[in-house]
Amino acid sequence: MATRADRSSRRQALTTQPLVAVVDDDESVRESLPGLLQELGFAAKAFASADEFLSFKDMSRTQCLLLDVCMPGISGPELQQELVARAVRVPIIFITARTDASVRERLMQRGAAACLFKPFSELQLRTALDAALLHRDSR
Amino acid sequence: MNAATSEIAISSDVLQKWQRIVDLLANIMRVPSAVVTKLEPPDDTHYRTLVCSNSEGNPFPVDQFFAMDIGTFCETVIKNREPLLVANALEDDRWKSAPEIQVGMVSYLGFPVQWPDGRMFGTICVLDDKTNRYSDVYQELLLHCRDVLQADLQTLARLGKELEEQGARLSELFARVPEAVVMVDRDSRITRVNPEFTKIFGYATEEAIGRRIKDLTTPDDLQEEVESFMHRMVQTGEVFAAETVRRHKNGTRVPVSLICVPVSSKGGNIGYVIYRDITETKRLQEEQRRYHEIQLELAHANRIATLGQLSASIAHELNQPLTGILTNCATCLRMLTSDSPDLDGAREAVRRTMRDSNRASDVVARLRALFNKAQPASESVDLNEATREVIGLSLGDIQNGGVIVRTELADDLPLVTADRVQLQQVVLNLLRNALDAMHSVNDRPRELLIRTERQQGDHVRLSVKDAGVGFDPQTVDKLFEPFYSTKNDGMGVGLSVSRSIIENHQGRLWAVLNEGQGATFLFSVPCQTPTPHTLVLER
Repeated sequence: MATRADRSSRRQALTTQPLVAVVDDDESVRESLPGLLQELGFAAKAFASADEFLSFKDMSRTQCLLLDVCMPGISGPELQQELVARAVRVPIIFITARTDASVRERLMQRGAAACLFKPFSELQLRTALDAALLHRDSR
Repeated sequence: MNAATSEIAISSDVLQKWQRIVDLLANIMRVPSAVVTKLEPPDDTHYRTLVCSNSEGNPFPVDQFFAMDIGTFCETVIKNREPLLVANALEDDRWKSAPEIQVGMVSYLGFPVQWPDGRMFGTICVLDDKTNRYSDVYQELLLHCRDVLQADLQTLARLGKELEEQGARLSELFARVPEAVVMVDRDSRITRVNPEFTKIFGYATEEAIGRRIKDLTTPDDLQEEVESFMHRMVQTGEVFAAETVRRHKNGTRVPVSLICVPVSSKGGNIGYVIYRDITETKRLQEEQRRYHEIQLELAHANRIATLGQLSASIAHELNQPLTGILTNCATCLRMLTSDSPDLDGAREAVRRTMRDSNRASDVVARLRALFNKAQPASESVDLNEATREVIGLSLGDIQNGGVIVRTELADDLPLVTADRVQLQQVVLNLLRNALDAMHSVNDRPRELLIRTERQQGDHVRLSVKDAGVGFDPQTVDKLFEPFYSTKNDGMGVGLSVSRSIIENHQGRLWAVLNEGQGATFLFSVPCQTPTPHTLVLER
């Protein structure tokens, strides 16, 4: 378990910790996920839309993207395409509130590192993050 | 008047009257013979004796024919259209060879008798075997009798014309009525048909006449029915109607509504059978039934689809705050169980959790508002008919479940003002629940009783009684809660939705355990009260 000292040092050393970006139009998710991610030892930043993320200056530092599928404006899969077009290589974990198994299959086929159905447990999140980071390393 | 007039039969009561006249004439005038003769149509080459006095010495029998070229007294009267008096033919050169002399008649007094249109009918005459000068009184008497005969002929001609017109009207009716009309005799043989008969059954008139009705148009499986109809016509003499099936010449079955009209048995006919082809009516009825079934099926499918969509969007809406709750709790747990617990962080995570919980309950509140918005349609519904449709729709399930369905639908059930499809959804839910409840029953018949009845006051009630597994009386109230189900694969919304539909109709839905096995589900809804005054006001 991380000590208080560890945690504060992690927060200070934002630049050294792997950055996980959360893109979701839902406020509950944006409010809660960064907290847990920090507890898990990541730097975390939340974005309310794909556009917001695309204008993020430190985008290139992002090690992993937790990406909602259905969003107003640019959807999750559309953002994925845009990133490929811009040659931004970042592993993506899709998160969706639609519980349809065929959706997961399609997303995985299109190169997602993982796909989580909301609501998901801490363990599911950690497993997905591990897979995503491995995914990045293997590329 | 046309030639048909001469075909008019002289009715028996007229003949009897004329018989009395000639008898009286012979008696009063003391002659052996008084006769009425009639010229024979159509070519008038003969006349015959029509009525002859029953007096002693009368040489003329009834129906004796005389040619019109042998020089008889009557022949002369008919040809000249004038009266004739011959006192004694033997002493008169003109009449020495009159044929009547051969039968002993030597004197003659006769008058011509005419139809009202002036055509010759015949004669009325008296004959004697001795010289007879026939006094003026006798001549006047005979003339008077001639006038009586002509008056009778006038009456007969008038009646004949009326009869003829009536016959023509009847024939026209027979020919033009849009129903097949068949006249049958005692032997159930066809004696007359109209053109519509040919149209409906394919047999031309000449093919039909003389054939037995049961051989011609009755399918093999309905022979007994026809026999009983014929029997009933003869026995009771009552008019009766039936709806059944008959056979076309080409073998196809024709649905018909028929009316049997017995007639008094003059002429050997026992009556008419009138058929109406109801193929089209049946087809329309069937089409309408199918249409309702499809409507009901669609509504059901719609509800299922809507439920599916609804549960997907409910899941979506709720999964968002649930994600927050779960994530915040995980964060909070980590913060609290760390070696140096982060209480501020944990407090913040709990606050976020509370916000998410509120969001979740907002979702639920919005859903409630959505459900309450829908207003049911309002139409006049025959609950019996609606119920029959639901049973029809479920026949497959009923047969698959090995279930015997009985119905006791009240005849005098008033209409209810309701959303027909919604009510049918309720009946369908109750029916399917009952089928499901009997699924595991193997030690007794799987019987289902659906009953409608009029209740005291202004309500009608429908009940569905099954012989299934029943329910736990302790949890009877839970039966109607959403998502409560005694079935493993049940959606559990049926009874709760049903109850809300019935309550929207100002009614009540409840359940009771049977005395024996199983349960009965019942609902009662207000019915329309007849308002006869409205009709009067509207006129």
